[in-house]
Amino acid sequence: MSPEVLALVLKGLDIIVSIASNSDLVERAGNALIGLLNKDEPSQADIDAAEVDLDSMLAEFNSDIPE
Amino acid sequence: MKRPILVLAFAASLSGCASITSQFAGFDVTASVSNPVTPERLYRVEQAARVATAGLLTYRRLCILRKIDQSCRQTIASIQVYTRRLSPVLVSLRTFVRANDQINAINTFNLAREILTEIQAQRTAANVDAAIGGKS
Repeated sequence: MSPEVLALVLKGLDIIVSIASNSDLVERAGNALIGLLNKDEPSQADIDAAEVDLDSMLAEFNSDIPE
Repeated sequence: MKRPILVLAFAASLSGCASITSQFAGFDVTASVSNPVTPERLYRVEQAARVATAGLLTYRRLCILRKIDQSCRQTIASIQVYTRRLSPVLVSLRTFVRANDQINAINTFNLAREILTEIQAQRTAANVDAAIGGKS
């Protein structure tokens, strides 16, 4: 394992600990990264799912923050 | 095998969308007639945006729970100026790419690229990634 990858893993572990209550985001980001790393051409179902999830994430971020 | 991938995903999300998009999505260069916006290219950009948005959502959730400095509210409002512009741009971009309307797809892709670049700049200026990673 290269030092760069090791650094990423260590940083990721630190973050996983800090965001344990956000396991849905861990899974969604993981799925997106797998999609990025996959060399195969994405299926229409993959494309649709990615669009729906990105729209959902942006909608949550864009909503007003409660006081 | 699944866990290291998830760890790397979050590490990547917190290292910012710029490095992800430049490495995987071809978002480091503008679209043009000689470098068109294919469905696969759009897919990879949207995947990178998902990873990056996961980091922003973590920041937002920590902010609402008051687990990070409350200046986060102003930071989120500043970033929302751009993320709210991005949503309709993405909808248009998908439509143009599906219709293979490359003139409009290229223009819209480059607009989305400008917006994402600005989001990344705001995120870096506000130390969003450090705020998330430094919290336990």
